[in-house]
Amino acid sequence: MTTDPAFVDTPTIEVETASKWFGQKVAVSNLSCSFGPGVTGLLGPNGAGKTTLLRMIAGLTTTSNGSVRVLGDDPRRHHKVFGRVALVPDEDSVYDDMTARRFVKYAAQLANTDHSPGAVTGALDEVGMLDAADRLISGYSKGMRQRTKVAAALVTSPDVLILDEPLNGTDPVQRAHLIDLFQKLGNSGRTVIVSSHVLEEVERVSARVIAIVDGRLAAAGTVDAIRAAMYDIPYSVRIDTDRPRDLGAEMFAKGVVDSVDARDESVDVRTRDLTTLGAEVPRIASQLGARLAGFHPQDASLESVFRYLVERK
Amino acid sequence: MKPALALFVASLRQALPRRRTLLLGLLELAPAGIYLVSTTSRTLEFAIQGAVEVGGTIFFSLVLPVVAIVVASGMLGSERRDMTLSFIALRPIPRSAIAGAKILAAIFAAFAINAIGAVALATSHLVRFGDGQLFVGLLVGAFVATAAYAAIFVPLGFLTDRAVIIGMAYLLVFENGVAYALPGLTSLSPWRLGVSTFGALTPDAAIHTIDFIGNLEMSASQSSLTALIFVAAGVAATAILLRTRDLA
Repeated sequence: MTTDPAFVDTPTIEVETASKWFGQKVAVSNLSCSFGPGVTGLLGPNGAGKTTLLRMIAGLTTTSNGSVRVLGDDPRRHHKVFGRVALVPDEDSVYDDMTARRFVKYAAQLANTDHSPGAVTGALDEVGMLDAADRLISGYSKGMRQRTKVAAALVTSPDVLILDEPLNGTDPVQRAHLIDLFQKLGNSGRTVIVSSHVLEEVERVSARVIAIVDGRLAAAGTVDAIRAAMYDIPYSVRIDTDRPRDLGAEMFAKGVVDSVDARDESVDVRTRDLTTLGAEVPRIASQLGARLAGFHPQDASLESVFRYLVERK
Repeated sequence: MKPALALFVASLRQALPRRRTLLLGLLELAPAGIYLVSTTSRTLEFAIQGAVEVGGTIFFSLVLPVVAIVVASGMLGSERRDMTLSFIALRPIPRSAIAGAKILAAIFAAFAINAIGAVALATSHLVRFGDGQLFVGLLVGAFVATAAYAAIFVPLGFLTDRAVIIGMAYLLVFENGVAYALPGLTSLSPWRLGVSTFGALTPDAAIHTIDFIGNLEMSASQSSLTALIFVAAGVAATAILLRTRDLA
Protein backbone atom coordinates (compact mmCIF):
# COMPACT_ATOMS: atom_id res chain seq x y z
CA MET A 1 0.00 0.00 0.00
CA THR A 2 1.44 3.37 -1.03
CA THR A 3 1.85 6.16 1.51
CA ASP A 4 2.82 8.85 -1.00
CA PRO A 5 -0.37 10.84 -1.62
CA ALA A 6 0.65 11.42 -5.25
CA PHE A 7 0.07 7.73 -5.94
CA VAL A 8 -2.87 5.37 -5.60
CA ASP A 9 -2.93 1.64 -4.84
CA THR A 10 -4.82 0.54 -7.94
CA PRO A 11 -3.68 2.92 -10.68
CA THR A 12 -5.31 3.06 -14.07
CA ILE A 13 -3.00 5.90 -15.14
CA GLU A 14 0.67 6.00 -14.21
CA VAL A 15 2.85 9.03 -14.87
CA GLU A 16 6.51 8.30 -14.25
CA THR A 17 9.09 11.10 -14.16
CA ALA A 18 7.36 12.59 -17.17
CA SER A 19 8.68 15.79 -18.70
CA LYS A 20 7.60 17.79 -21.68
CA TRP A 21 9.33 20.77 -23.15
CA PHE A 22 8.54 22.88 -26.17
CA GLY A 23 11.83 24.37 -27.33
CA GLN A 24 13.16 26.33 -24.35
CA LYS A 25 9.88 26.22 -22.43
CA VAL A 26 9.42 23.44 -19.91
CA ALA A 27 5.71 22.64 -19.63
CA VAL A 28 5.97 19.57 -17.39
CA SER A 29 9.05 18.73 -15.37
CA ASN A 30 9.91 15.35 -13.93
CA LEU A 31 6.39 14.70 -12.72
CA SER A 32 5.34 11.42 -11.14
CA CYS A 33 1.87 10.56 -9.94
CA SER A 34 -0.93 8.11 -10.56
CA PHE A 35 -4.69 8.13 -10.89
CA GLY A 36 -7.20 5.45 -10.05
CA PRO A 37 -10.94 4.84 -9.98
CA GLY A 38 -12.92 7.77 -8.60
CA VAL A 39 -12.66 11.47 -9.23
CA THR A 40 -9.29 13.22 -8.95
CA GLY A 41 -8.96 16.95 -9.24
CA LEU A 42 -5.98 18.32 -11.14
CA LEU A 43 -5.38 21.74 -9.70
CA GLY A 44 -3.02 24.49 -10.72
CA PRO A 45 -2.94 28.08 -11.94
CA ASN A 46 -3.23 28.89 -15.63
CA GLY A 47 -0.06 27.87 -17.45
CA ALA A 48 0.88 25.36 -14.75
CA GLY A 49 1.11 22.47 -17.20
CA LYS A 50 -2.26 20.84 -16.49
CA THR A 51 -3.34 20.71 -20.13
CA THR A 52 0.04 19.37 -21.26
CA LEU A 53 -0.12 16.65 -18.61
CA LEU A 54 -3.64 15.68 -19.65
CA ARG A 55 -2.62 15.64 -23.31
CA MET A 56 0.31 13.38 -22.47
CA ILE A 57 -2.05 11.06 -20.60
CA ALA A 58 -4.44 11.08 -23.56
CA GLY A 59 -1.59 10.34 -25.97
CA LEU A 60 -2.00 13.54 -27.96
CA THR A 61 1.41 14.80 -26.92
CA THR A 62 4.62 12.83 -26.67
CA THR A 63 6.66 12.91 -23.50
CA SER A 64 10.11 14.47 -23.88
CA ASN A 65 11.25 12.25 -21.05
CA GLY A 66 9.69 9.66 -18.73
CA SER A 67 6.59 7.66 -19.47
CA VAL A 68 2.82 7.60 -19.25
CA ARG A 69 0.79 4.42 -19.13
CA VAL A 70 -2.98 4.28 -19.37
CA LEU A 71 -4.72 1.03 -18.49
CA GLY A 72 -1.32 -0.62 -18.76
CA ASP A 73 -0.49 0.64 -22.24
CA ASP A 74 1.41 3.54 -23.77
CA PRO A 75 -1.39 5.56 -25.41
CA ARG A 76 0.99 6.77 -28.14
CA ARG A 77 1.62 3.21 -29.28
CA HIS A 78 -1.65 1.41 -28.69
CA HIS A 79 -4.57 3.12 -30.33
CA LYS A 80 -6.98 0.53 -28.93
CA VAL A 81 -6.64 2.14 -25.53
CA PHE A 82 -8.71 5.02 -26.92
CA GLY A 83 -11.69 2.72 -26.93
CA ARG A 84 -11.65 3.02 -23.14
CA VAL A 85 -10.45 6.59 -22.73
CA ALA A 86 -12.19 9.87 -23.50
CA LEU A 87 -10.79 13.39 -23.31
CA VAL A 88 -12.86 16.54 -23.07
CA PRO A 89 -10.36 19.22 -24.07
CA ASP A 90 -10.59 22.80 -22.92
CA GLU A 91 -10.51 24.20 -26.43
CA ASP A 92 -13.41 24.17 -28.85
CA SER A 93 -12.77 20.82 -30.50
CA VAL A 94 -16.24 20.67 -32.03
CA TYR A 95 -17.54 20.97 -35.57
CA ASP A 96 -19.52 24.18 -35.90
CA ASP A 97 -21.48 22.89 -38.86
CA MET A 98 -22.85 19.90 -36.96
CA THR A 99 -25.70 19.70 -34.48
CA ALA A 100 -24.93 18.35 -31.02
CA ARG A 101 -26.89 15.21 -31.90
CA ARG A 102 -24.84 14.65 -35.05
CA PHE A 103 -21.59 15.39 -33.19
CA VAL A 104 -22.35 12.91 -30.41
CA LYS A 105 -23.39 10.28 -32.95
CA TYR A 106 -20.19 10.88 -34.90
CA ALA A 107 -18.15 10.41 -31.69
CA ALA A 108 -19.89 7.09 -31.07
CA GLN A 109 -19.38 5.96 -34.68
CA LEU A 110 -15.67 6.75 -34.56
CA ALA A 111 -15.36 4.91 -31.25
CA ASN A 112 -17.24 1.95 -32.74
CA THR A 113 -19.72 2.01 -29.87
CA ASP A 114 -23.50 2.09 -29.80
CA HIS A 115 -24.58 5.07 -31.93
CA SER A 116 -28.27 4.28 -31.95
CA PRO A 117 -30.68 7.21 -31.45
CA GLY A 118 -31.32 5.96 -27.92
CA ALA A 119 -27.63 5.99 -26.96
CA VAL A 120 -27.10 9.45 -28.45
CA THR A 121 -30.21 10.87 -26.80
CA GLY A 122 -29.18 9.34 -23.48
CA ALA A 123 -25.77 11.01 -23.55
CA LEU A 124 -27.28 14.37 -24.49
CA ASP A 125 -29.85 14.01 -21.74
CA GLU A 126 -27.11 13.32 -19.19
CA VAL A 127 -25.65 16.79 -19.78
CA GLY A 128 -28.96 18.58 -20.19
CA MET A 129 -28.53 19.27 -23.90
CA LEU A 130 -31.61 17.56 -25.30
CA ASP A 131 -33.52 20.79 -25.90
CA ALA A 132 -30.78 22.27 -28.07
CA ALA A 133 -29.57 18.99 -29.58
CA ASP A 134 -30.81 19.72 -33.08
CA ARG A 135 -29.37 23.21 -33.38
CA LEU A 136 -26.02 23.89 -35.05
CA ILE A 137 -23.09 24.00 -32.63
CA SER A 138 -21.99 27.31 -34.20
CA GLY A 139 -24.82 29.02 -32.30
CA TYR A 140 -23.95 27.52 -28.92
CA SER A 141 -22.58 29.32 -25.89
CA LYS A 142 -19.29 28.23 -24.32
CA GLY A 143 -21.15 26.26 -21.66
CA MET A 144 -23.28 24.45 -24.23
CA ARG A 145 -20.19 23.53 -26.22
CA GLN A 146 -18.58 22.18 -23.06
CA ARG A 147 -21.62 20.04 -22.32
CA THR A 148 -21.74 18.81 -25.91
CA LYS A 149 -18.13 17.67 -25.63
CA VAL A 150 -18.92 15.91 -22.36
CA ALA A 151 -21.87 14.15 -24.04
CA ALA A 152 -19.58 13.07 -26.90
CA ALA A 153 -17.26 11.56 -24.30
CA LEU A 154 -20.02 9.88 -22.32
CA VAL A 155 -21.58 8.19 -25.34
CA THR A 156 -18.46 6.05 -25.69
CA SER A 157 -18.83 4.76 -22.08
CA PRO A 158 -15.15 5.31 -21.24
CA ASP A 159 -13.38 3.68 -18.31
CA VAL A 160 -11.13 6.73 -18.09
CA LEU A 161 -12.61 10.19 -18.53
CA ILE A 162 -10.23 13.15 -18.70
CA LEU A 163 -11.84 16.57 -18.45
CA ASP A 164 -9.79 19.72 -18.99
CA GLU A 165 -11.50 22.69 -17.32
CA PRO A 166 -14.95 21.22 -18.08
CA LEU A 167 -16.78 23.77 -15.96
CA ASN A 168 -15.49 26.78 -17.89
CA GLY A 169 -18.32 28.87 -19.23
CA THR A 170 -21.06 26.92 -17.48
CA ASP A 171 -23.64 28.68 -15.32
CA PRO A 172 -24.09 27.66 -11.64
CA VAL A 173 -26.99 25.30 -12.35
CA GLN A 174 -25.14 23.55 -15.19
CA ARG A 175 -22.03 23.45 -13.02
CA ALA A 176 -23.83 21.72 -10.16
CA HIS A 177 -25.36 19.26 -12.62
CA LEU A 178 -21.99 18.42 -14.20
CA ILE A 179 -20.32 18.06 -10.81
CA ASP A 180 -23.01 15.57 -9.77
CA LEU A 181 -22.47 13.72 -13.03
CA PHE A 182 -18.69 13.51 -12.57
CA GLN A 183 -19.12 12.25 -9.03
CA LYS A 184 -21.64 9.65 -10.18
CA LEU A 185 -19.18 8.45 -12.84
CA GLY A 186 -16.39 8.31 -10.27
CA ASN A 187 -18.55 6.40 -7.82
CA SER A 188 -19.35 3.87 -10.54
CA GLY A 189 -15.66 2.89 -10.65
CA ARG A 190 -14.51 4.99 -13.57
CA THR A 191 -11.32 6.99 -13.42
CA VAL A 192 -12.29 10.64 -13.76
CA ILE A 193 -9.75 13.48 -13.86
CA VAL A 194 -11.11 17.00 -13.65
CA SER A 195 -8.69 19.87 -14.10
CA SER A 196 -9.32 23.36 -12.85
CA HIS A 197 -7.47 26.45 -11.68
CA VAL A 198 -10.11 27.10 -9.01
CA LEU A 199 -9.60 25.32 -5.69
CA GLU A 200 -13.24 25.64 -4.65
CA GLU A 201 -14.31 24.03 -7.94
CA VAL A 202 -11.99 21.08 -7.47
CA GLU A 203 -13.05 20.79 -3.86
CA ARG A 204 -16.66 20.32 -4.92
CA VAL A 205 -15.80 17.68 -7.51
CA SER A 206 -13.27 15.47 -5.80
CA ALA A 207 -11.77 14.49 -2.50
CA ARG A 208 -8.34 13.73 -3.98
CA VAL A 209 -6.29 16.47 -5.57
CA ILE A 210 -3.05 16.63 -7.52
CA ALA A 211 -1.77 20.20 -7.56
CA ILE A 212 0.88 21.29 -10.05
CA VAL A 213 2.57 24.58 -10.81
CA ASP A 214 5.33 25.40 -13.26
CA GLY A 215 4.99 21.85 -14.52
CA ARG A 216 6.00 20.34 -11.20
CA LEU A 217 4.05 18.51 -8.52
CA ALA A 218 3.17 21.06 -5.84
CA ALA A 219 1.00 18.97 -3.57
CA ALA A 220 -1.12 15.86 -3.56
CA GLY A 221 -3.68 14.33 -1.29
CA THR A 222 -7.05 15.26 0.06
CA VAL A 223 -8.40 18.76 -0.30
CA ASP A 224 -8.05 19.14 3.47
CA ALA A 225 -4.36 18.25 3.28
CA ILE A 226 -3.84 20.79 0.51
CA ARG A 227 -5.64 23.42 2.52
CA ALA A 228 -3.56 22.60 5.61
CA ALA A 229 -0.41 23.00 3.54
CA MET A 230 -1.68 26.31 2.28
CA TYR A 231 -2.46 27.54 5.81
CA ASP A 232 1.15 26.93 6.74
CA ILE A 233 2.32 29.51 4.25
CA PRO A 234 3.54 32.92 5.45
CA TYR A 235 1.46 35.61 3.77
CA SER A 236 2.69 39.12 3.04
CA VAL A 237 0.26 41.92 3.79
CA ARG A 238 0.61 45.67 3.34
CA ILE A 239 -1.36 47.78 5.84
CA ASP A 240 -1.85 51.47 5.03
CA THR A 241 -1.80 53.60 8.17
CA ASP A 242 -0.67 57.02 9.45
CA ARG A 243 1.42 55.38 12.22
CA PRO A 244 3.24 52.49 10.54
CA ARG A 245 6.10 52.17 13.03
CA ASP A 246 3.88 52.10 16.12
CA LEU A 247 1.39 49.71 14.57
CA GLY A 248 4.13 47.39 13.33
CA ALA A 249 5.93 47.33 16.68
CA GLU A 250 2.73 46.59 18.60
CA MET A 251 1.68 43.77 16.24
CA PHE A 252 5.11 42.19 16.50
CA ALA A 253 5.14 42.52 20.28
CA LYS A 254 1.80 40.77 20.54
CA GLY A 255 2.97 37.94 18.26
CA VAL A 256 0.38 38.66 15.61
CA VAL A 257 3.02 38.84 12.86
CA ASP A 258 6.34 37.11 12.17
CA SER A 259 8.11 40.13 10.68
CA VAL A 260 7.57 43.85 10.17
CA ASP A 261 8.88 46.33 7.61
CA ALA A 262 7.65 49.88 8.32
CA ARG A 263 7.42 52.39 5.45
CA ASP A 264 6.33 56.04 5.25
CA GLU A 265 2.59 55.47 5.11
CA SER A 266 2.30 51.70 5.40
CA VAL A 267 3.73 48.68 7.09
CA ASP A 268 4.52 45.35 5.41
CA VAL A 269 4.03 42.34 7.64
CA ARG A 270 4.33 38.58 7.23
CA THR A 271 2.02 36.18 9.03
CA ARG A 272 0.89 32.56 8.88
CA ASP A 273 -2.52 33.38 10.28
CA LEU A 274 -4.46 35.81 8.16
CA THR A 275 -7.62 35.36 10.24
CA THR A 276 -5.97 36.49 13.48
CA LEU A 277 -4.23 39.33 11.71
CA GLY A 278 -7.55 40.54 10.30
CA ALA A 279 -9.11 40.48 13.75
CA GLU A 280 -6.21 42.03 15.67
CA VAL A 281 -5.17 44.89 13.40
CA PRO A 282 -8.31 47.04 13.93
CA ARG A 283 -8.14 46.44 17.69
CA ILE A 284 -4.46 47.42 17.96
CA ALA A 285 -4.99 50.42 15.69
CA SER A 286 -7.85 51.54 17.86
CA GLN A 287 -5.75 51.25 21.03
CA LEU A 288 -2.99 53.30 19.38
CA GLY A 289 -5.37 55.82 17.87
CA ALA A 290 -3.93 55.01 14.45
CA ARG A 291 -5.98 55.43 11.30
CA LEU A 292 -6.26 52.38 8.99
CA ALA A 293 -6.53 53.22 5.29
CA GLY A 294 -6.03 49.83 3.61
CA PHE A 295 -5.27 46.14 4.01
CA HIS A 296 -3.65 44.51 0.95
CA PRO A 297 -2.60 40.83 0.80
CA GLN A 298 0.51 40.86 -1.42
CA ASP A 299 0.73 37.27 -2.58
CA ALA A 300 -2.50 35.50 -1.76
CA SER A 301 -3.17 34.20 -5.26
CA LEU A 302 -3.45 30.46 -5.79
CA GLU A 303 -0.42 30.68 -8.04
CA SER A 304 1.76 32.18 -5.36
CA VAL A 305 0.55 29.62 -2.86
CA PHE A 306 1.43 26.78 -5.20
CA ARG A 307 4.73 28.34 -6.09
CA TYR A 308 5.58 28.42 -2.41
CA LEU A 309 4.65 24.76 -2.07
CA VAL A 310 6.89 23.83 -4.99
CA GLU A 311 9.83 25.78 -3.61
CA ARG A 312 9.35 24.15 -0.21
CA LYS A 313 9.41 20.60 -1.62
CA MET B 1 -21.02 2.09 -39.90
CA LYS B 2 -17.35 1.26 -39.47
CA PRO B 3 -15.27 4.04 -37.84
CA ALA B 4 -13.01 4.59 -40.86
CA LEU B 5 -16.03 4.75 -43.17
CA ALA B 6 -17.75 7.23 -40.85
CA LEU B 7 -14.58 9.34 -40.87
CA PHE B 8 -14.43 9.17 -44.67
CA VAL B 9 -18.07 10.22 -45.10
CA ALA B 10 -17.83 13.08 -42.60
CA SER B 11 -14.53 14.27 -44.10
CA LEU B 12 -16.00 14.19 -47.60
CA ARG B 13 -18.89 16.35 -46.45
CA GLN B 14 -16.58 18.79 -44.65
CA ALA B 15 -14.35 19.09 -47.71
CA LEU B 16 -17.20 20.34 -49.85
CA PRO B 17 -18.53 23.46 -48.14
CA ARG B 18 -21.15 25.15 -50.30
CA ARG B 19 -19.44 28.49 -51.03
CA ARG B 20 -16.00 27.08 -51.79
CA THR B 21 -17.44 24.29 -53.91
CA LEU B 22 -19.46 26.80 -55.89
CA LEU B 23 -16.44 29.04 -56.53
CA LEU B 24 -14.19 26.16 -57.52
CA GLY B 25 -16.98 24.73 -59.64
CA LEU B 26 -17.21 27.99 -61.56
CA LEU B 27 -13.44 27.94 -62.04
CA GLU B 28 -13.84 24.48 -63.55
CA LEU B 29 -16.02 25.89 -66.32
CA ALA B 30 -13.22 28.15 -67.57
CA PRO B 31 -11.45 25.52 -69.74
CA ALA B 32 -14.71 24.60 -71.49
CA GLY B 33 -15.47 28.28 -72.14
CA ILE B 34 -12.02 28.92 -73.56
CA TYR B 35 -12.28 25.78 -75.69
CA LEU B 36 -15.61 26.88 -77.15
CA VAL B 37 -14.22 30.31 -78.02
CA SER B 38 -10.97 28.97 -79.48
CA THR B 39 -12.53 26.29 -81.72
CA THR B 40 -15.19 28.30 -83.50
CA SER B 41 -13.64 27.73 -86.93
CA ARG B 42 -11.84 24.42 -86.47
CA THR B 43 -12.41 21.01 -88.02
CA LEU B 44 -12.80 17.92 -85.81
CA GLU B 45 -9.13 16.98 -86.16
CA PHE B 46 -7.93 20.39 -85.12
CA ALA B 47 -10.65 20.57 -82.50
CA ILE B 48 -9.14 17.55 -80.72
CA GLN B 49 -5.79 19.27 -80.85
CA GLY B 50 -7.50 22.32 -79.37
CA ALA B 51 -9.07 20.20 -76.64
CA VAL B 52 -5.65 18.81 -75.74
CA GLU B 53 -4.15 22.31 -75.73
CA VAL B 54 -6.87 23.71 -73.51
CA GLY B 55 -6.91 20.56 -71.42
CA GLY B 56 -3.13 20.58 -71.07
CA THR B 57 -2.49 24.26 -70.53
CA ILE B 58 -5.55 25.21 -68.49
CA PHE B 59 -7.48 22.24 -67.11
CA PHE B 60 -4.79 19.71 -66.16
CA SER B 61 -1.94 22.11 -65.46
CA LEU B 62 -3.81 24.87 -63.66
CA VAL B 63 -7.44 24.37 -62.63
CA LEU B 64 -7.17 20.74 -61.55
CA PRO B 65 -4.05 21.19 -59.39
CA VAL B 66 -5.43 24.34 -57.75
CA VAL B 67 -8.62 22.52 -56.76
CA ALA B 68 -6.79 19.39 -55.59
CA ILE B 69 -4.23 21.37 -53.60
CA VAL B 70 -6.84 23.55 -51.89
CA VAL B 71 -9.09 20.62 -50.96
CA ALA B 72 -6.29 18.25 -49.89
CA SER B 73 -4.34 20.81 -47.88
CA GLY B 74 -7.39 21.52 -45.75
CA MET B 75 -8.26 17.90 -45.11
CA LEU B 76 -6.06 17.53 -42.00
CA GLY B 77 -4.84 21.14 -41.93
CA SER B 78 -8.25 22.55 -41.09
CA GLU B 79 -8.77 19.87 -38.44
CA ARG B 80 -5.50 20.97 -36.86
CA ARG B 81 -6.34 24.68 -37.09
CA ASP B 82 -9.87 24.16 -35.76
CA MET B 83 -8.48 21.95 -32.99
CA THR B 84 -10.78 19.08 -33.96
CA LEU B 85 -7.86 16.79 -34.76
CA SER B 86 -7.81 15.56 -31.16
CA PHE B 87 -11.45 14.53 -31.57
CA ILE B 88 -10.43 12.16 -34.36
CA ALA B 89 -7.07 11.12 -32.98
CA LEU B 90 -8.56 10.01 -29.66
CA ARG B 91 -10.61 7.25 -31.23
CA PRO B 92 -9.62 3.60 -31.39
CA ILE B 93 -8.84 3.82 -35.08
CA PRO B 94 -5.41 2.86 -36.46
CA ARG B 95 -3.47 5.91 -37.62
CA SER B 96 -3.13 4.32 -41.05
CA ALA B 97 -6.94 4.08 -41.28
CA ILE B 98 -7.29 7.76 -40.33
CA ALA B 99 -4.69 8.64 -42.97
CA GLY B 100 -6.36 6.44 -45.58
CA ALA B 101 -9.85 7.81 -44.88
CA LYS B 102 -8.59 11.39 -45.07
CA ILE B 103 -6.66 10.90 -48.31
CA LEU B 104 -9.53 9.04 -49.93
CA ALA B 105 -11.94 11.77 -48.86
CA ALA B 106 -9.59 14.39 -50.33
CA ILE B 107 -9.36 12.45 -53.60
CA PHE B 108 -13.11 12.03 -53.98
CA ALA B 109 -13.96 15.56 -52.85
CA ALA B 110 -11.43 17.15 -55.20
CA PHE B 111 -12.42 14.81 -58.01
CA ALA B 112 -16.10 15.68 -57.53
CA ILE B 113 -15.14 19.27 -58.38
CA ASN B 114 -12.57 18.42 -61.05
CA ALA B 115 -15.07 16.16 -62.77
CA ILE B 116 -17.13 19.27 -63.49
CA GLY B 117 -14.26 20.66 -65.56
CA ALA B 118 -13.60 17.37 -67.31
CA VAL B 119 -17.26 16.82 -68.16
CA ALA B 120 -17.75 20.44 -69.23
CA LEU B 121 -14.77 20.26 -71.60
CA ALA B 122 -15.81 16.91 -73.06
CA THR B 123 -19.41 18.09 -73.38
CA SER B 124 -18.33 21.25 -75.20
CA HIS B 125 -16.49 19.07 -77.71
CA LEU B 126 -19.49 16.74 -78.04
CA VAL B 127 -21.94 19.58 -78.57
CA ARG B 128 -19.78 21.35 -81.13
CA PHE B 129 -18.47 18.37 -83.10
CA GLY B 130 -20.76 15.48 -82.16
CA ASP B 131 -17.71 13.59 -80.90
CA GLY B 132 -17.87 11.99 -77.43
CA GLN B 133 -14.43 10.36 -77.29
CA LEU B 134 -13.00 12.83 -74.74
CA PHE B 135 -15.19 11.86 -71.77
CA VAL B 136 -13.42 8.75 -70.52
CA GLY B 137 -9.88 10.04 -71.03
CA LEU B 138 -10.54 13.38 -69.36
CA LEU B 139 -12.39 11.83 -66.39
CA VAL B 140 -9.89 9.05 -65.73
CA GLY B 141 -6.97 11.43 -66.32
CA ALA B 142 -8.49 13.91 -63.89
CA PHE B 143 -8.97 11.19 -61.29
CA VAL B 144 -5.37 9.97 -61.60
CA ALA B 145 -3.88 13.46 -61.32
CA THR B 146 -6.23 14.44 -58.48
CA ALA B 147 -5.27 11.31 -56.53
CA ALA B 148 -1.57 12.07 -56.89
CA TYR B 149 -1.98 15.67 -55.71
CA ALA B 150 -4.19 14.63 -52.78
CA ALA B 151 -1.63 12.07 -51.66
CA ILE B 152 1.03 14.78 -51.50
CA PHE B 153 -0.97 17.63 -50.05
CA VAL B 154 -2.95 15.91 -47.27
CA PRO B 155 0.23 15.22 -45.26
CA LEU B 156 1.76 18.57 -46.27
CA GLY B 157 -1.39 20.36 -45.08
CA PHE B 158 -1.02 18.61 -41.75
CA LEU B 159 2.59 19.73 -41.48
CA THR B 160 2.24 23.39 -42.39
CA ASP B 161 -0.33 26.15 -42.71
CA ARG B 162 1.44 27.23 -45.90
CA ALA B 163 0.69 24.08 -47.87
CA VAL B 164 -1.44 25.92 -50.43
CA ILE B 165 1.27 28.54 -51.02
CA ILE B 166 3.91 25.83 -51.30
CA GLY B 167 1.65 23.96 -53.69
CA MET B 168 1.13 27.01 -55.90
CA ALA B 169 4.86 27.68 -55.99
CA TYR B 170 5.52 24.04 -56.89
CA LEU B 171 2.87 24.15 -59.58
CA LEU B 172 3.83 27.42 -61.18
CA VAL B 173 7.60 27.39 -60.76
CA PHE B 174 8.46 23.72 -60.98
CA GLU B 175 5.71 21.90 -62.84
CA ASN B 176 4.80 24.67 -65.26
CA GLY B 177 8.31 26.08 -65.53
CA VAL B 178 11.34 23.98 -64.71
CA ALA B 179 9.75 20.68 -65.82
CA TYR B 180 9.17 22.08 -69.32
CA ALA B 181 12.82 23.04 -69.56
CA LEU B 182 14.08 19.79 -68.07
CA PRO B 183 11.89 16.95 -69.42
CA GLY B 184 13.68 14.41 -67.24
CA LEU B 185 11.83 15.84 -64.25
CA THR B 186 8.34 15.37 -65.65
CA SER B 187 7.81 12.23 -63.55
CA LEU B 188 7.63 14.56 -60.51
CA SER B 189 4.66 16.37 -62.03
CA PRO B 190 1.30 14.86 -60.98
CA TRP B 191 -0.77 16.70 -63.59
CA ARG B 192 1.32 15.17 -66.37
CA LEU B 193 0.21 11.75 -65.11
CA GLY B 194 -3.33 12.91 -65.83
CA VAL B 195 -2.47 14.15 -69.31
CA SER B 196 -0.63 10.91 -70.00
CA THR B 197 -3.72 8.92 -68.96
CA PHE B 198 -5.92 11.16 -71.08
CA GLY B 199 -3.68 10.59 -74.08
CA ALA B 200 -3.56 6.86 -73.51
CA LEU B 201 -7.35 6.59 -73.37
CA THR B 202 -8.05 8.99 -76.25
CA PRO B 203 -6.20 7.69 -79.32
CA ASP B 204 -6.83 10.77 -81.48
CA ALA B 205 -5.47 13.01 -78.75
CA ALA B 206 -2.36 10.98 -77.89
CA ILE B 207 -0.13 12.56 -80.51
CA HIS B 208 -0.85 16.03 -79.19
CA THR B 209 -0.24 15.23 -75.51
CA ILE B 210 3.46 14.60 -76.15
CA ASP B 211 4.06 18.36 -76.00
CA PHE B 212 2.94 18.37 -72.38
CA ILE B 213 4.15 15.11 -70.94
CA GLY B 214 7.61 14.92 -72.50
CA ASN B 215 9.04 11.49 -71.82
CA LEU B 216 6.27 10.59 -69.36
CA GLU B 217 4.32 8.65 -71.96
CA MET B 218 2.56 5.81 -70.14
CA SER B 219 -0.34 3.45 -70.63
CA ALA B 220 -3.43 4.14 -68.56
CA SER B 221 -2.64 1.26 -66.23
CA GLN B 222 0.95 2.47 -65.76
CA SER B 223 -0.14 5.98 -64.86
CA SER B 224 -2.87 4.61 -62.58
CA LEU B 225 -0.32 2.40 -60.87
CA THR B 226 1.97 5.40 -60.44
CA ALA B 227 -0.90 7.36 -58.87
CA LEU B 228 -1.57 4.38 -56.61
CA ILE B 229 2.05 4.45 -55.48
CA PHE B 230 1.65 8.17 -54.72
CA VAL B 231 -1.45 7.37 -52.63
CA ALA B 232 0.22 4.51 -50.75
CA ALA B 233 3.22 6.73 -49.97
CA GLY B 234 0.88 9.54 -48.91
CA VAL B 235 -1.05 7.26 -46.55
CA ALA B 236 2.18 5.94 -45.05
CA ALA B 237 3.63 9.43 -44.60
CA THR B 238 0.42 10.75 -43.03
CA ALA B 239 0.17 7.77 -40.68
CA ILE B 240 3.76 8.29 -39.55
CA LEU B 241 3.09 11.99 -38.96
CA LEU B 242 -0.02 11.19 -36.92
CA ARG B 243 1.96 8.70 -34.84
CA THR B 244 5.01 10.82 -34.20
CA ARG B 245 3.92 14.44 -34.03
CA ASP B 246 2.12 16.18 -31.20
CA LEU B 247 -1.55 16.45 -32.10
CA ALA B 248 -2.19 19.53 -30.04
